[in-house]
Amino acid sequence: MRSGPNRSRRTNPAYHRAWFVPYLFLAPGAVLLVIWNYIPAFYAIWISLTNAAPGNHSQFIGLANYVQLLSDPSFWNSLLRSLEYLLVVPVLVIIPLLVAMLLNQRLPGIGVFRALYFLPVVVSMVVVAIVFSEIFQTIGLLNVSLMSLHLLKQPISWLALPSLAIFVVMLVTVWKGIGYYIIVYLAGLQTVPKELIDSAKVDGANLWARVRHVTVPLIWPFMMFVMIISTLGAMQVFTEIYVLTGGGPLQTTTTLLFYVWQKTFSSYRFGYGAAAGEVIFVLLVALSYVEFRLSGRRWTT
Amino acid sequence: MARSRRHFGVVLSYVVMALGAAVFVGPLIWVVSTSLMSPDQNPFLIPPQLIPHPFTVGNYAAVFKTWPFGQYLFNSLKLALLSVAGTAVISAFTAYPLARMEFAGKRVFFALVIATLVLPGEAMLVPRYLLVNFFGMVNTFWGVAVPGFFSGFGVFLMRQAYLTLPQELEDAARMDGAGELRIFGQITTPLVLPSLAALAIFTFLGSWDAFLWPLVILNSQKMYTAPLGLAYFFGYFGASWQLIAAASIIVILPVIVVFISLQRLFVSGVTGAVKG
Repeated sequence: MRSGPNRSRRTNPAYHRAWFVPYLFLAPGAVLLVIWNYIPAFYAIWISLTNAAPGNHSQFIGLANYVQLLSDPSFWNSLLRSLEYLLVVPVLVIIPLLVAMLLNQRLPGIGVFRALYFLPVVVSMVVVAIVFSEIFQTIGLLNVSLMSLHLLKQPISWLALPSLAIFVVMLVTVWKGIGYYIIVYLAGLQTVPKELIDSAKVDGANLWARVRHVTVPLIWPFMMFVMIISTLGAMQVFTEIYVLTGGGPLQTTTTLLFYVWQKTFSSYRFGYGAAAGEVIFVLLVALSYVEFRLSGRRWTT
Repeated sequence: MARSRRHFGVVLSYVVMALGAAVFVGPLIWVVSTSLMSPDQNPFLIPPQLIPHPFTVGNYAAVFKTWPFGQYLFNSLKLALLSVAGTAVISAFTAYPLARMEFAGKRVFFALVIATLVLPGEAMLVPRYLLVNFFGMVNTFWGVAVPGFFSGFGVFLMRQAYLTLPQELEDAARMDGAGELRIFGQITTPLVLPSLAALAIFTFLGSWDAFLWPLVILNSQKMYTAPLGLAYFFGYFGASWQLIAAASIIVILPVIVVFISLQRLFVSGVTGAVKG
């Protein structure tokens, strides 16, 4: 980029590179960022105002898609299901923290346990979903086990009962996700000085008091990180639903994203799908905003 | 007294950890065991057998013989390598000036990058699909991979890595007459290879696991990735659980082997994303 050594530059510690150099480095990434993130974000708004479908010349139809959306009970159902799915968030914030505290001890063989707990993270979601489908189906491992232990007389159709199916799907999300958050918390717990815990012990603080007044305040930022990431994850759940229930029974596992996918790629209504997609967008922005506000706050007791 | 309480605590820890391990590993062991059963054996035996009697590896052969599973795996591999290459190169180039140069618009650009972290691609499913269609990339691996080349996570991770390098390093190279591209390619980037490797592994894992986006973009069976093929044969053909189990093991084994051999990088990748 430079032709030959330059004496004045050599001795000058504050080297000035040509102004365009940083932009050359950025250019490919910036182009991709705009094309695949920012253009779609705005393009989606336009599509949602049209009747776009494969093979038609999409026409502007104003807010018709949104009007239809708001009057569709299945849409409201899917919105509720997505909100219901947020139940995984507190589970994913708290359980991995407890496990991480367990795994943060200096004990022989603890590395093996850490590795085992992380294993589901690297297993493909399709595989996890299929395995849980074989466990929870009517003639599946769980029912057969419970019946052979005489805990159950009749098999339970876990995945066919509208009141239960979504919880099985959530269980899959949690089972696969937990290991990731354990690692995050283990990193967080490394930042807690051992002396602080020890001195709290000397002061006679019991386990709960130590957790509440020492550990949690110090790893609060990590807990907020987990909350935000697991919320995003809960809104993106798809594979588990596709494999385990296909959105059923009676649409009880049709989340917003699943609804968007069905409307767009089964009914081929791009405009309508985009309108429903905007709702995900707004929901994510709103949730992120609330959570960022929350994370800015310090933990006080 | 205090000692026996400590001992009790340690024993309790091990018991709880072992129970947890059973919850996380048990189902996977069951898949391995099922994959070794012939289709007329009962996979729901109580108690489950670790190694079925009699056992067979016939399912593994059948997966490749009766399904185009070799093709699916090859497709997954091609797609993952494409994603890794694209994401690594773009992340490194984009992160470098953000970490080591001053320029007008830097803060705005970085804010635009960070904003993508809270807006996952799933929220833009429809417009992205239409753009892929517009570029004529439907049913191609490019259509699946290119929208993910720019990764907010990747740029963030690499920026953190480049920030840790001392300024003297660049100054010294510059005194020796090295240009910007050479400093980037031969001096600084080699020093952040651990981060780049962590990013590569995560991208590989993400691509190997990806489902919804490939499902939308790839519509001919010969383009299917392993997860798509697996779901297809599970859902539409209702193939026997023993056969599906063998296919599942084939899908997850490469990733588990990579994970076990590169565990350290995994952990540094996760923690690198949190810090800062």
